[in-house]
Amino acid sequence: MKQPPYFLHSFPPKGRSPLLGLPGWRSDMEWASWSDFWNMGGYGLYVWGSYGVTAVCILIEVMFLKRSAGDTRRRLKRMQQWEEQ
Amino acid sequence: MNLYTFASPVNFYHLSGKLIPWFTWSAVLLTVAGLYISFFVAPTDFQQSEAYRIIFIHVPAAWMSMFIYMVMAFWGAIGLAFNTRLSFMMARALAPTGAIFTFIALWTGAWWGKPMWGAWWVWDARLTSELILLFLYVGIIALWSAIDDVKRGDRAGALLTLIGAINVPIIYFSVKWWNTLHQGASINLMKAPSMAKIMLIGMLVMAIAAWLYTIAVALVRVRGIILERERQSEWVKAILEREA
Repeated sequence: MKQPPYFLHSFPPKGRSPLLGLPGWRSDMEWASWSDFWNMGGYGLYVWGSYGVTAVCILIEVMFLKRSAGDTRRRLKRMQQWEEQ
Repeated sequence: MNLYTFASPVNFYHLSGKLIPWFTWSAVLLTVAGLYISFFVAPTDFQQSEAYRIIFIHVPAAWMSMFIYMVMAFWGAIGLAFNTRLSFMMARALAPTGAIFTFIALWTGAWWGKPMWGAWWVWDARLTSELILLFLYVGIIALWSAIDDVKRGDRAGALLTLIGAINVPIIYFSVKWWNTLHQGASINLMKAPSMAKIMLIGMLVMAIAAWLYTIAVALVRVRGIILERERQSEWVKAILEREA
């Protein structure tokens, strides 16, 4: 018989993530501590280097977009007032 | 009222204004869920240990870089064929986000390549064609900003987008056509099928989040473009009265 995917073996999950206190399917192989988590099995630099720069890219895009949305409206408004005079 | 109603900028402006919060918040929720799967549900890889977790942003970003380009090419083709104003605006609104996802795909690829291959960069077919995609995005954006005449700029940009579209299938099939250092379809990466499933789910959740994010930011951007281009019309003046 075909095994169900392992994360469905017990549903809802019985374990709890020791780090987050949230339901976790893999409490047995969960990170032992936060330093363990940040260390990423020795690949911390690469994993966080990837995720960090991605987060920065998204934040920069959202920031610029917010600012330029306001700028565009104010600039058009100024042009409009100028044209009316 | 039919679907074509929303091809008119004024209707689209109002519709998109209502949709943006929905796309934004579902993107946020799915990102949180995706990150939770990426770090707290998906198990350690038997070969790559924890380094493989880069896959949850690398693969969705690489998918998005190609999807967004194809969507831009689609809008460019529609615009060229039917001369619809809104389609060119959509293409312009998508390009910056496409460029950012291409950069993210390349960046995370480098930070994955270093520990796994021992090199930040190799001139292999997959990596090189993805780099060309980044240059295409940058080139199209530069072309738009170089041409002051909006209509001419739209057409030139759409044409360049369509010519460059040949690169997308090259990226996609590069791992099949050439002997690349980059691995093939990501699902083959995992051996145990049970592992593949949760990793795939994590990737899909992150990819859907990326889609929703892209739609949200593209809509915000296209609204700015609409206001700019329709600034002579009465409805824009009324909106500026309220929003500025």
